[in-house]
Amino acid sequence: MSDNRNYHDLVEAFVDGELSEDQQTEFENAVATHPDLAASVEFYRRLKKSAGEAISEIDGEPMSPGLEQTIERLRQARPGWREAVGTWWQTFPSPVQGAALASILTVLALVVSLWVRSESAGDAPLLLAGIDVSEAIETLTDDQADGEIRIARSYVGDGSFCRLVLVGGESGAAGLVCWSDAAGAWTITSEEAPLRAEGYVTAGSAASPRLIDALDGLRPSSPEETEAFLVRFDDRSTD
Amino acid sequence: MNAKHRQMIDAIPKLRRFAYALTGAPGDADDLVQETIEKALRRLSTYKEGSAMQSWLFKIMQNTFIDSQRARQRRPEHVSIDETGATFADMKQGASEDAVFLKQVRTAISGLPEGQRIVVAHVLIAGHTYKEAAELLDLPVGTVMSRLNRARRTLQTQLLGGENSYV
Repeated sequence: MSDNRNYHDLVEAFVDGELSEDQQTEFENAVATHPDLAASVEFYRRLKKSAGEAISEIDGEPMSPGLEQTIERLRQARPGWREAVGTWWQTFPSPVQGAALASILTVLALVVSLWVRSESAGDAPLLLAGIDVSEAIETLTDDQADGEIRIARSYVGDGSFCRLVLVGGESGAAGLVCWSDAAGAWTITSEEAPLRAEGYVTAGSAASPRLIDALDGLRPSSPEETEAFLVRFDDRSTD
Repeated sequence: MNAKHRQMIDAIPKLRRFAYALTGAPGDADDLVQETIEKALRRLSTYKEGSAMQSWLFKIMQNTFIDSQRARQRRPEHVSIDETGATFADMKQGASEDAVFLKQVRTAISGLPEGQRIVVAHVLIAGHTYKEAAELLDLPVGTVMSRLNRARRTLQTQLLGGENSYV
């Protein structure tokens, strides 16, 4: 970093604390001998400080009534069952009695939960190239990713809501997964190795005829429609 | 109170600042915080235990903001400080020079293009590292750095009235 110009390229990283220890020491030495560099550092420091101060003005602003209500709801919310169970047994006169009862109830809860799962076996995992996308399909918004799973775009049809799911990156697969109001279930309508993600998103020339056929009769969903659809599932699964 | 709910309440001051940097108006900022918290409550079952609640909320907020911007016609990308009349109005009210400058900074930030404004909010306001911002935005670190650089140059031009003496 002997060139003064190179030091100027590092001003932002220096001000943001992103330089390594060695780089920082070298940069500080350069600042001491280059007034123009020192001026640049001073400006960016002032800009960063001023930005923080300018925005923190909102700390002194009263909250909107709507936000106040939301916070009050959070305050009034009861503890989740895990937290409630976590300390509840300690209120027993004899800790041993309490712990024993808690153990019995835990086993009972486990049995009930296994029974409920077996009863709802209809909610089978949606496997796309071996990856379960059942949760992602009901939680991710468009162009949002969770690990290997990305929802590229959503589509709306007559009584159906379809989502284009990409899994496993470029070497993975793409699938159109559709919810049918009539059937009340998700099905994988089309699945194959992707050629190009962008092609699938736009259903353009890079998409296969099979996928284009699957999209026939569907139109891209608006962000509001997608949000409204996800809320249906959120409401169902909120703990 | 639920522990997760408590974490959400604790995060609200930072969320308000982040939202204010994104929206540029206190009322809009509070609306965005409210929408973020309500969305987070609906999606609480997807929150991974042990992960950072604040990062999760920042991500929800940033995505909510991006979606809302896409859904409506975006505001003009640059707001001229001269057009706001901020300087004259404040001077008449006896505002200090610092207060005028801070108002100019706020106006300049809210006039940045959306992508640059979000990066500024992450790094300059929320104090995220380049890597953290990149992860939250699903962008390469290099993209975060270049957007931040462009944003700073724009702010510099806006605040110094086109002078370019420092860089």
